[in-house]
Amino acid sequence: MLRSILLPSLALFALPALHGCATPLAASDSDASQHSAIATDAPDGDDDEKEDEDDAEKKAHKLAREIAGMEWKLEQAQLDRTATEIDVALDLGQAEQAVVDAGVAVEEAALALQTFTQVESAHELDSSKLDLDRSQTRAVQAAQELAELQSMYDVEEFAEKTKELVISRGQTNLEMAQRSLDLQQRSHALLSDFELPKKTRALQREVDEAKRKLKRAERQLEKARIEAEKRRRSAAHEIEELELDLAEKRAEVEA
Amino acid sequence: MSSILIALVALAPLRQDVPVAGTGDGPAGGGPDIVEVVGGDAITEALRARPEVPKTMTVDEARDALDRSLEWLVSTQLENGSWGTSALDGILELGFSIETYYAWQVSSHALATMALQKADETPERLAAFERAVRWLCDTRLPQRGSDWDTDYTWAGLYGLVATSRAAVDPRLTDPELRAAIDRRGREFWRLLETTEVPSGGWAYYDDPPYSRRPSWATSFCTALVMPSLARAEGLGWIEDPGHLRRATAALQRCAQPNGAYTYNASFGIPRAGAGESINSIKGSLGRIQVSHWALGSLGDPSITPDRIRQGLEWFFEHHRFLDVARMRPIPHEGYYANAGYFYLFAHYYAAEVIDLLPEAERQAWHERLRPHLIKIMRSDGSSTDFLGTAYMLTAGTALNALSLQKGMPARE
Repeated sequence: MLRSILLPSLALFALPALHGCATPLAASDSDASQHSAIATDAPDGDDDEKEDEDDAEKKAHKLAREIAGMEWKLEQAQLDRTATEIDVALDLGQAEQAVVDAGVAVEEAALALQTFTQVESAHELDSSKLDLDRSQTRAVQAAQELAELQSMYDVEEFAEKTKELVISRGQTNLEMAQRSLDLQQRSHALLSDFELPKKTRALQREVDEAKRKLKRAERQLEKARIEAEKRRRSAAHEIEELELDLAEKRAEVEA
Repeated sequence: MSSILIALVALAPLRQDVPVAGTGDGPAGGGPDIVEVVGGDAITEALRARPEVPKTMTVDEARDALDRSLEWLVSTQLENGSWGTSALDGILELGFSIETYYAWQVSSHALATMALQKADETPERLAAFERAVRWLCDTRLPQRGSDWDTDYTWAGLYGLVATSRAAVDPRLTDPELRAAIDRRGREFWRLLETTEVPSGGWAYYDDPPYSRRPSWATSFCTALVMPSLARAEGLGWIEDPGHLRRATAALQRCAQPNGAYTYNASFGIPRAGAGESINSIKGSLGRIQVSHWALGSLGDPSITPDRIRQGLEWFFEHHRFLDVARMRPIPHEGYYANAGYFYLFAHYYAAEVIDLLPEAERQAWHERLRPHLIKIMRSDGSSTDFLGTAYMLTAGTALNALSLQKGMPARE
């Protein structure tokens, strides 16, 4: 495919270089053999002169082919440089985006930590404290209710069984309220002394990790930039080399 | 609170697998809601183990107890003529609006005033009565406590009953006091006029959507005030007879084919309850008495002596359901959704309705009633059937005294 695209342009390069030749140098091998056959059909005599002409023609043909090959390589190198530029742009863009993303991640992690330590932690703690206070109040109220019921039934002589039932229920309520309070106290301590600090530490680690990833992304970007420069230079250098070679070869033809 | 009641009533059918109260000495019988007796339950045990009380009690046997309860009212009356406090004085009734505790103080005060008015006269009791009337006339009128809590209606209900009775008491001769009674009676009526539900009658809570004029009425709130509405009409405090007519119609709608009276009075079509419904006979023991008394006092021809007797027979036959509910601190936690505070209310209106029967048979009924009043009286003369708060003690003692006073001739 590439060859079929390049052949017409090769012909264009070749024509100016072979200006003045009797036979188009861009001709195919079959054309050359035909041309050779025609030359063989020339009348005898002066064979040396004929051989010289053949050598010159062969040499010109060889040079033309070398030049065409070098021009093709040069064009390949130019295309490679374009592709390299695109690759480099993509790689650099990716590396730059990675830095941006890592920076955002750091901000998000820092914000999460800040929100947790300044708002959420206090909210959870207050909520737990409210539950604790409710349990405390409920326990106090259960004790007060029991005391009120005991006081009320102390002077009741008739409702003995009802008294037993109600007082027993009041005692159970108080016991449940006290157990609930105990559980709530432990839950609150667990939250304030362990769970919240643990979550704070976890969020801090996420901030640190995000910062590490940002640093790494920044270094990766530096590396990508160096590699991009290196690849650009390499591509340019190859083209320069090929252009020099081509120029020398063309000079050789003209000489 | 009405929603709590509804919830409790709704739960009642779920409790049918629970051992149900009974005496163990025969089928409950008597009504359409016979429940099989199942042993092992604490309430059943309570019923079985309840102390023996005499089946009847004469006037002489009861008089000392009545004196004790009146003495308690006289001795606990404050200098300004009131009883108790307008603030919550126990934590078992947290959650009502602040105004409600004052409304309950006013309504229990009205009951205590009524009890002192009916008492055998002594200088101390008369002075206490006059002080109580003055406070009732001078104290500020309670206001609606919140959107749902309209307990201030209680102050209007018993306030109107007490002032309308005081207004016709010939012993109160001070013109200023009589004018104050007249003014306050009209103010209590204006409170009731404001809280009368569109279909007639009164209650003490409102349900969403809340409105300036509440929408819920009960049979017993309506019934307790109806005879006083008639008295207030006679006093010129109420001009429109439509209020009493609507109240009467509402109460008559509450009468069910089984003889019970529904709890709610604000409905289109009454529904007879099944199972452990509060609207069964056993859940309606007090409402039957107050409804018969109200309608009978106003000349409803359907309230015949036989019907009153049947209501009283049910009252004594199923009295255990009032017994086991008394002093239970959670409203409506008794079987058939009986509440502790049904007890003395039911007994007072039983005592009232007895006096609608032919005179010759009244004493026998009162003799059956008295033991159930005296057995719950504390040694200091006070009574309560629900909680130990000041307003409950005042109201309970007053209701007990009012009940004992019925059928008790004046001391010679």
